[in-house]
Amino acid sequence: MSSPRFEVESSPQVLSVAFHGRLDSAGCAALNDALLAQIEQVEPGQHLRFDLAHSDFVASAFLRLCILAARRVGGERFELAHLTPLVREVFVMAGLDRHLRIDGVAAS
Amino acid sequence: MSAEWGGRWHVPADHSGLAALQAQANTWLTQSGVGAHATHRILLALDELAANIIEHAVQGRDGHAFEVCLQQASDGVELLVIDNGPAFDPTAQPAPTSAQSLGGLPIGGLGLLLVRRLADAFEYRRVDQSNRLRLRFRTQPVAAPPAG
Repeated sequence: MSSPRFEVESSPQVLSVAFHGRLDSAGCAALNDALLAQIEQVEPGQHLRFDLAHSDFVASAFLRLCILAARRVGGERFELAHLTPLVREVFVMAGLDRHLRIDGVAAS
Repeated sequence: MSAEWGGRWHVPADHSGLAALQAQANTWLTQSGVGAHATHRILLALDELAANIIEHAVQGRDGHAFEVCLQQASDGVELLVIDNGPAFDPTAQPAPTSAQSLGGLPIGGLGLLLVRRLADAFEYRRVDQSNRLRLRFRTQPVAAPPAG
């Protein structure tokens, strides 16, 4: 169970952050400062996407980072993409599917 | 504590100990025949409770540790987490209220919210200056491979 990491790709439309590994409490603590700094780089008009295709575990520490990111850029410009079924279940369990855009489905 | 706990670990109460704890608990659950979905639920609850101890109960005290036990029960798995931090009953904490907007979402309390929803039973006792959290998870055993 190695430490998680993320990769960033930026286009004029989207800043995409692709996560790799387990986003558990310890992993999120390690990523926290670098990720928040990255979120600050989102340009006006640019969307922010968190790609979770390569993460099969998220803890509440990551949910908090998603809430902070969505508040920073605005809920309509933040999206979670490629969630595995187990990861999606955690977002639903926390009720965040009602507030965050997930895999192209707008918050209800 | 009863002697039948199948998995039992003393964990340093800092983030460095959590990865090893997750790996050891994952191995125990897999070897006990617990399915992937239930294993995920148990490991997530364990991660949330351990993080809560590190962030709130330890309060910067060096050398603090807590204890984690797992055992098979008739209908699933029981998880026991013991720490000797200040008394804290998570089962008595109010559930976060449903937010109407993104701005109203609570930043705190998400971990305990998840634990409440992950576990099928969640019980707290204060015993001998220790917090004891006992959780029960109903599980479905992995089907044995067909013979032959």
